[in-house]
Amino acid sequence: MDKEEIVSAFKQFDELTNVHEPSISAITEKIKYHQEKKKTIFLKELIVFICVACSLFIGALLMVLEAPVSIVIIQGLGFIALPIIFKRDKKKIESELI
Amino acid sequence: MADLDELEIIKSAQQGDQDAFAKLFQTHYSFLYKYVLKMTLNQQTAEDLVQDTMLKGYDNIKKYNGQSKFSTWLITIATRLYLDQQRRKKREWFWEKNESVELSRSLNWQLAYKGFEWSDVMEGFEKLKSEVRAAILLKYYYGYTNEEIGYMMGIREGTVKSRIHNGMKELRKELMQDG
Repeated sequence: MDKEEIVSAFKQFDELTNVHEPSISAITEKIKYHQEKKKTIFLKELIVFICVACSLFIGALLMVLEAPVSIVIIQGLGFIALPIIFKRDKKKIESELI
Repeated sequence: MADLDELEIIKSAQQGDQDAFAKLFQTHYSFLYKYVLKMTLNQQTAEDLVQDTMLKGYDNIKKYNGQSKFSTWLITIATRLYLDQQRRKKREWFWEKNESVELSRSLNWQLAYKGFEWSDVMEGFEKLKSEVRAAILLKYYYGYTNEEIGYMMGIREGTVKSRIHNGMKELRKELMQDG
């Protein structure tokens, strides 16, 4: 078995393969959709990042002001819960897209 | 090297012109699709992979420096995406077990309908591992050097050489058993 056999099998394979070229508008449509999806994901990530940063900042501030530990815990949990909710939404959106 | 007209379109695409990229992609669609179909031997996987390649190509168009042909750049993206997907799927042993059986069945039927005889070569080829298939295809059908294939697959030249050598050995063994 030599490489000519492989080449000839693939040549025949190529000749019989039907290619349906997409139109330029179909390609740009897909690109636009992809861009929007990327933008949405970026915004969600940004919100999660801001939530975590705020949680850390307010937590530190409350501790400096000697607020009761229970308040610090409640605010901490609140800010941790938000990103989790966002992440769950993100997974839901992604699975719907798939 | 990409020709002058194409370079102009690439420049526009790199500046964010979506139509220019679409035109560029459309020009190379047939070449890319045929390559991906031979590598995956599965129509659905090939279509999905071509779309993923297009989106990744669009995201990274600024990184294209014109040192290789644009079509080569596209098939490099497609090869890497496919091999990454295969690596991920390898963890799902059940999929892997059924893959070889289901992989080319539908394609086989479609091509048989058009008069293509699924030769022993093709039968042996589909039994090879995806990374070996890609290396053999790039070497013998597309004529890339081991160095180029190594760059495309993200592996060393020596590894490419041994993959091709072992793949061909396996293919010969398969054909001897069938014959």
